[in-house]
Amino acid sequence: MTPQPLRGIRVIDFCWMIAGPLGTRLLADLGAEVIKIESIARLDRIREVGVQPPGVLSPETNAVFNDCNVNKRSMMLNLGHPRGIEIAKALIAKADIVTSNFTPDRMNRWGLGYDDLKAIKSDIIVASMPVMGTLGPHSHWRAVGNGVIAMGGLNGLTGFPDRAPVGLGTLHSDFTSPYFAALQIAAAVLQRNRTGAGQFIELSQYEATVHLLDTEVLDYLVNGHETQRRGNRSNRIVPHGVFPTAGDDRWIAIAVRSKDEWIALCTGLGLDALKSRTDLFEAEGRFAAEDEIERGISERTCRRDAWELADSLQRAGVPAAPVEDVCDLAGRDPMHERFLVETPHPAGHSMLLQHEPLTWNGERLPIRLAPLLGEDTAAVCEELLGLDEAAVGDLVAEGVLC
Amino acid sequence: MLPLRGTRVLDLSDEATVLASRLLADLGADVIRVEEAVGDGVRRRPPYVDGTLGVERALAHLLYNAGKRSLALDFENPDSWRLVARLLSACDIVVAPLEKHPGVAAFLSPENFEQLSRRTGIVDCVFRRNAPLERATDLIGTAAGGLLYLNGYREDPPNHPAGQLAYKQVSLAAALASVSMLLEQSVSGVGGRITICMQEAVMWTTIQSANENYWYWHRTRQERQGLANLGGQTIFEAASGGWVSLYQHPPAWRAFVSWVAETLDDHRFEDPEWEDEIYRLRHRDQIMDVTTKLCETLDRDSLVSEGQRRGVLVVPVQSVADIASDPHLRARGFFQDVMIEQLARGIEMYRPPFVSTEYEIRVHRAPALGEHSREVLTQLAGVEEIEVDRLVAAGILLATEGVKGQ
Repeated sequence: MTPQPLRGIRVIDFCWMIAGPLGTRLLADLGAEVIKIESIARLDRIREVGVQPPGVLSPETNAVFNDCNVNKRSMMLNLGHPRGIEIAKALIAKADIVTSNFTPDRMNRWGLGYDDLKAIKSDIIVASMPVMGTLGPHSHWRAVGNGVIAMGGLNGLTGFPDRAPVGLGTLHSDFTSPYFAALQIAAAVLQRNRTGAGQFIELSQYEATVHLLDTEVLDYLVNGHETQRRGNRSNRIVPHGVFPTAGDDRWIAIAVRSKDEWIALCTGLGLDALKSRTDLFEAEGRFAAEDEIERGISERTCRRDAWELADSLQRAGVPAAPVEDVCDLAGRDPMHERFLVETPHPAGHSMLLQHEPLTWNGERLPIRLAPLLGEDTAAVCEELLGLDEAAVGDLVAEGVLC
Repeated sequence: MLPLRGTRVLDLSDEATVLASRLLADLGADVIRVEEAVGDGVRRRPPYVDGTLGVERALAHLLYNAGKRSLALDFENPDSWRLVARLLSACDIVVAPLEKHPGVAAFLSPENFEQLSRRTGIVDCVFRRNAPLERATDLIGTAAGGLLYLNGYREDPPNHPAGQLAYKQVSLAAALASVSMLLEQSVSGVGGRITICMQEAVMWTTIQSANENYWYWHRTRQERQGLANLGGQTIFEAASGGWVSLYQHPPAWRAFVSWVAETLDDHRFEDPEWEDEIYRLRHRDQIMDVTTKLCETLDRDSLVSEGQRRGVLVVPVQSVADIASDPHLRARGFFQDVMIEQLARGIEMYRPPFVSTEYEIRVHRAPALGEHSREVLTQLAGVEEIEVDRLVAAGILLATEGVKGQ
């Protein structure tokens, strides 16, 4: 059986949108019982925006919501109602971890700040993922993922030096900050298991995103050198680029790090004239001839099939890959058979669930559909609060569990 | 106290996984970096301190190996691997590289490793599951995982994103996998083997596209995003020539409308049909045109402060110089002075993003090559001092002496 190291750990999850829920999904994948707190009065926007199956407009079937919330439970709880706060506190008394990604101070105003929660459960682990962090002159700034990568330097360093900085095709930090957060939370569980102490942890998505850069910030701090956008070229690997292949908008990526890889590339592409030049054996010489090398490669790749060419170059020992898009990944590339799981959804349409990018002892981690809105409300109320069906019905009628 | 204090990591990572073990060191693990006596790839790539080559001067080494210890061995000599095997019983986890030296591959192979240790876990990494031995750089990883195709100007080839994002995704998954394994060991006593796939890890960052393709596109391909992102163009030029990222967050629509009306005397968005999100989506070219004009009225920093004051989601597109001088990060103590003893100079570095009531993280310097060879082997592997001297004389071990302690 696949290990589930967070089994027995309960998370009361107030996160919404993408980055926060994806972080608690990582905990759920590892076996934690993650109870997502939801409300009609404050619906997670990600249930509404984004991609829906054809002809459907439902809070249950949004693709991104499902990606971010597999393996969780959902409970309806209106925090705008005084009884809602009471019930939240009762749930937290039986939990190990509380997570949120609101702007600073929101949890405090609900009476659910760290000091409040520590009084309810002394060893509670409380995790917050504000974009800017709770302290600092710009802590009130608001941004979503594309703003976070702009502040973090990724946009400014991507593209060509004489042109506009280019946007990444995804809200990239929404898929990286969750890892930093889950890492810190999992470490806090390990620490609590050893010492008995809980803690408040804060992960600023902006700070985490600066760590996605390579040495550029350090180069500025140490050498005063400001790295500029450099297209597809590298400061140490040459050739290093994306070259046209047969077909519309089809490309192959090639990177050459050594004399052996250079000779293998020239042999594989039939670049005999370049292959015979000893001045190109080392990177320094190839940098001096980069334009000529790139032209030579493009002339040879442009009529080849990207997949067959990448395969033959790899067999010759050259780092190469077709530039795949999601159609390739979900179709032509056999990788999807082991990574994406086609799953029927109660609302009618099947959808793809995406595994974690790992195997443990050769096995995938278990995966099940994201919960329907409030699917587990009654069960959680019974299991954690001892409320029977009638009591739950009353709380629904009073506007507390909705 | 740091949360991973008392745990020990044997670090065989390469460029793809080296951030994983750095993060574990940040969180308090004793990370022993086992490296080739000639200096590994992380130590041999530019840029260097003051532009001068040297295995202690690579900024990648100073960044990614911060807080680790160094054991330097001749990877070609089988005796080296017998020494590493003797260390295993003192280690909880091994962090493996993506591309493996033959000595590393043989050491980590299931048939060898399972004889050496049942308890110690391995966090391994492959490029593709169906072709695990293929060669991959970060560029190749972003190509195979779908991120490269989406990135760049629409009229141009796909553009390799900055930051080595394929390596970063693998390292983040490996760091979380390592702590997961420590938790599992604390329960069952056994770590096992986790294998992270770089192609899958990169595809994780395009997670929102899989079902879109499944339901709608089938064989129709998505366009590169250029200056756009979710909901249209987000990057705009400010009056001074700098750039901002401005996202049309639906709850901030009215704040944007009043800003446009007051600044440009353009009242078109006050018409009620613009309240409808679907209508705005269909007419987003108009919104982008007006946003372009709005951004031309103020310099970058004024745009950001005025927009944020009004509740519009606008932030600066920052350069590395902006980040290094950001008063917000400075006020949060993000930057720390670190003494690099082997270079006899201090440098400024930045701390990890982890803030906690239980600990405060100080960034420690990266080790000199072989700085801890002697202490690691004598204290953790039971090797006698005289044997260390013999290994050094035989050229199997590099033991750098006399560097001040961390």
